Amino acid sequence: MSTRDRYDAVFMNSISVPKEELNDSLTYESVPTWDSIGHMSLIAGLETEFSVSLNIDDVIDFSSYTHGIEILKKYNIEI
Amino acid sequence: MFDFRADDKSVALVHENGVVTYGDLKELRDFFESHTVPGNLTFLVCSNTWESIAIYALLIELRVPLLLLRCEIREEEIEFLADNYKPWLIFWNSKIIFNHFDEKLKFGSYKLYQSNSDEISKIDPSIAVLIPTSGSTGNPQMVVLSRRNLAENSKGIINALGIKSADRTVTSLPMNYSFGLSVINTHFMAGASIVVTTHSVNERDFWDTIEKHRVTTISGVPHTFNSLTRVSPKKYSEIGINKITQAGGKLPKEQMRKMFEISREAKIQFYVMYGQTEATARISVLNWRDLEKQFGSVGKAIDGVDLWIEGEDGQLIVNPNEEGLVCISGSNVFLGYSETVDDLLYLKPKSQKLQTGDVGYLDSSGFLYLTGRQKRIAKCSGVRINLDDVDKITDEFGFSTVSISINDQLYVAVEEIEEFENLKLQLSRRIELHPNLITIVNIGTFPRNEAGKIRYKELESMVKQNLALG
Repeated sequence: MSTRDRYDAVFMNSISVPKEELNDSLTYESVPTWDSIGHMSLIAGLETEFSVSLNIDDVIDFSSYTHGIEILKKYNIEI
Repeated sequence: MFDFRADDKSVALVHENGVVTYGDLKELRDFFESHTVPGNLTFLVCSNTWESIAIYALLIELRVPLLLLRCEIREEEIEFLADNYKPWLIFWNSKIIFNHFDEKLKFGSYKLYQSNSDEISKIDPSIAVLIPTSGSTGNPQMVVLSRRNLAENSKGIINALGIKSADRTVTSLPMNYSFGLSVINTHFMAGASIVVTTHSVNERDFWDTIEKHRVTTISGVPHTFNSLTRVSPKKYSEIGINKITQAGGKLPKEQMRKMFEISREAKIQFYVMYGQTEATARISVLNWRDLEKQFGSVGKAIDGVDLWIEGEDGQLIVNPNEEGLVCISGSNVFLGYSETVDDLLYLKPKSQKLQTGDVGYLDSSGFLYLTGRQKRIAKCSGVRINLDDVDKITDEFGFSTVSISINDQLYVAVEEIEEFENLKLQLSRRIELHPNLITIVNIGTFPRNEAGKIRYKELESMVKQNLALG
């Protein structure tokens, strides 16, 4: 599986969003499942998948599907 | 209970557009006095706004019994409850369009609606609040608490946590939840301040707000700590946080350890607590000084609470470390449950003893450790869920399931179903629990005894095994 596939799989599993909705317009609170609780499962899912640990600023800034890719770059993960 | 004074200039509430002093609350109390009647049951749809907290506190002062509702409540639910409870007033920050209520006045973002029906519930003004317990699984049942319950339990909490007028907390919990409500009661009784925000701990605005307004105390349930344990000790020191409290279920060991280390470095007093709505809010508190030595404990009973362990036969267990049912008595034991207003008319405390339904033991130094639940009731992220009700709901959806809970997560076991994503989402919507807190597990065949009853212990191991296998 490519890194992108793994990134996508975490989104699909943790906030129950279908693959075709994984794009620029997927942002925090844009779907009911990406609320504050969903956010933490998403972060936990990514941390497990990529063996990283995000600090609070990155957790807070993780505001969209697209921006998340930028944030993970800081942890040397190229999506 | 709060005894607001006109000359008190200290800050009670801090919100986006300013502050509300205790003197202001006294003034507002006098204003609301002309619009309310002691003993006339009133609904308050709660939100983390200064108006909602002020209305609550003022009406408690005015001896108006309040039924507290969550802000996401649907109109038809309010209608159903209004039929059952016949309130005189409803405070809500949304437009009511149902019959029998007229808009009387505006208070900030809130509106006050008054019943135009002849049927109005007058109840004993010593009843302070009614708090819904079971979410949307089954019939909405209210925990009824007296003014004495609130006042005495608050005193015990203030002592155990050392809450002082210089303390400043933040609305990190909903106020229609007994833990959230106790934060408001204790801080107002201690003359401390509350910073109001609707944002959650994983949003930038939350941290900006608490830094700007110099918040000193944060309270959280387990999922709050997913964020709280990621904040550096340095950041906590910069904001000026000196106290963090945790309740609403067991924190995973790893996070407990992490929070303990952060708290030690940032000189934060970290209190682990245990309680339930039937006990008003708090039962026990583990002092931060004991956290390392008594790791995993929920501490000792607070002032006003007697705590002991009983066997299934009702016999007192005196041996340390021997497991049994956690029982309490004291001024914090609730008056009873209600489903309609009639239940409130004949409400008398049946007994001072409360069986918490939790299983645990006391160690040789008297510290309480919780090990499980006696009844089929789970707590997921502070939300109470009746597991049998969950199975009734899935039955309505056409599924045969057996639900259990492990570590505050809801597991719904099914027999040989392939397609269950839909079940998860349907269930999540119905019981208002986030889908991520629900796991559907296919275990093949339910383990049953000869009588056909589910063997829950065995089911639990099967679920665990299934999860471990991936």
